[in-house]
Amino acid sequence: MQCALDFIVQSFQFDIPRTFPAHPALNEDGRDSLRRLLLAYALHNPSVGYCQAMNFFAGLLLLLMPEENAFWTFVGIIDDYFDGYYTEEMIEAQVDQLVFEELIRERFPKLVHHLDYLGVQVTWISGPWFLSIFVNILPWESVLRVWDVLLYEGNRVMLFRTALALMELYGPALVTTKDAGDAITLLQSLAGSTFDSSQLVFTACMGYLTVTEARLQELREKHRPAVLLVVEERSKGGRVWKDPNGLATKLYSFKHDPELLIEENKGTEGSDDALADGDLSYKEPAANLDEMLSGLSVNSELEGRDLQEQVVWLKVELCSLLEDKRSAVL
Amino acid sequence: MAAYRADEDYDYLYKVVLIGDSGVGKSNLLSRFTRNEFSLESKSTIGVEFATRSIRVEDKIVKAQIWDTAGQERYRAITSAYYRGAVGALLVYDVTRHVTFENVERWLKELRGHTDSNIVIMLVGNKADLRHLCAVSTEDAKAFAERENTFFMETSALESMNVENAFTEVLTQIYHVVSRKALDIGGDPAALPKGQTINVGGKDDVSAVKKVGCCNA
Repeated sequence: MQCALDFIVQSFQFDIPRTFPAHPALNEDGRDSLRRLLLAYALHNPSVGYCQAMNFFAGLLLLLMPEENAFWTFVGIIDDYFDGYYTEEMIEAQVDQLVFEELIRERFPKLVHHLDYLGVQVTWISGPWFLSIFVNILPWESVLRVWDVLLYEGNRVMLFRTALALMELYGPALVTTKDAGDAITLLQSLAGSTFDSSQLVFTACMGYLTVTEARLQELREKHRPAVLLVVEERSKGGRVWKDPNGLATKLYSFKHDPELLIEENKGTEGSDDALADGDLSYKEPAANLDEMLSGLSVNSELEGRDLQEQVVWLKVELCSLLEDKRSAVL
Repeated sequence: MAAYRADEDYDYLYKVVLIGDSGVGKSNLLSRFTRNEFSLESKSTIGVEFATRSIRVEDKIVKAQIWDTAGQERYRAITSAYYRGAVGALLVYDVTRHVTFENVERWLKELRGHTDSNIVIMLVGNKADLRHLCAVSTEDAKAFAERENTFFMETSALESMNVENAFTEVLTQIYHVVSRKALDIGGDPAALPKGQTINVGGKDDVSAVKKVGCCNA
């Protein structure tokens, strides 16, 4: 037991002094509270344990309420509203990013087109926003306003609405940027100076009423298989990547054939089937995929896979290849 | 001493990632290099953070886009998405905590599994100012770096020791790799990004995202 405790304490010991450093309330006593809260939670829910970012949430709550209340509020947020987010695999966090990417492509096609052109993936920026629930991303007052709505609604809808609102507010500035670095730096600094919290919350809540929990659930269902597949691949320790007869190798030999690549690109136009990562600018007709699949000689490893899974996996792969190509052309 | 330059004019844009265990000082290395700042009371990095700086390499201006990643193990699934297109990496450990050096091997595997085989990697032993607490010998680290074919340097973000050198070395090496690659395919650097040669064994070949204006010039 002591060993398990030590392990947990070790996982967050470096983050205790790095939680709102220099905040007067997080003095020795404050840090002890923080330590107790995180330890209690890790024992309460070992499937999550401790995940970086949780230190900030616990710290925020401790600034607002007594320790025990902070603990139960924390439990509610992590176990309920953010179920599956901060676990070892962080699956729901990854799913939400794919969902957000789809939403942003739907709402701001021009902006996304520009970011695509610069080689910036929206999720590079939105990932930290979601994971930190905007703590350290927005000014403190804006963080509290967003948290207020989030806790009131009792789900993650406000994450999406806030992120969409930020894109709406800062999109016009973003499209003037000339390279990936400038775009990301600009968005970081603009987000960090979102002092008009009323405007932010108003834009988020009134502008994106159609982004509802039901719609998000629908999109999550759609994108979850792709994430699960990648997670599964990772947990196999990249075996498929290394196996000379594996699927990945076949894909790469496919990748190295320039004619095939061109053909593949031609085939990617004019279909409605969104890619697994929500990349609407590169679409592929199912027929093309089938052709590709049948072109791959199926070995024992492939036989074990569900065809549907293979399709999703190939989509993910194809997508990353296209991304590479896009970056290369840029 | 390379001067800080306006962001507008540069010849090359390189993506570099900072990886390594939690608390080894990645964020402070980044802030020291890009803003000449160090904070004893820095905050944990959630997901990733980002900064840029341009330096002069030989007669070219190279702009580095640097991604500073979260160190906690479970974040790897998320942060590995940021490796895509990286042409350089600083793999950081803390010289006062041996376990952070032991984990270097896993980081290296993770990195190589997600990037181009030509990626320039530097092993960085940070917090070298804490000499009396040193738990990883320079020789061990050097031997490891040689075995793994990476560069190696000990740094102190606090004392600003070797930070400039480490980044500059990585960027210079990237510059050389990219120039060499350009020569290999016929001496036309503009031909590189067209993608005729996609490197075997690597998933990415975005070694040089050369500025369009420059290619046309």
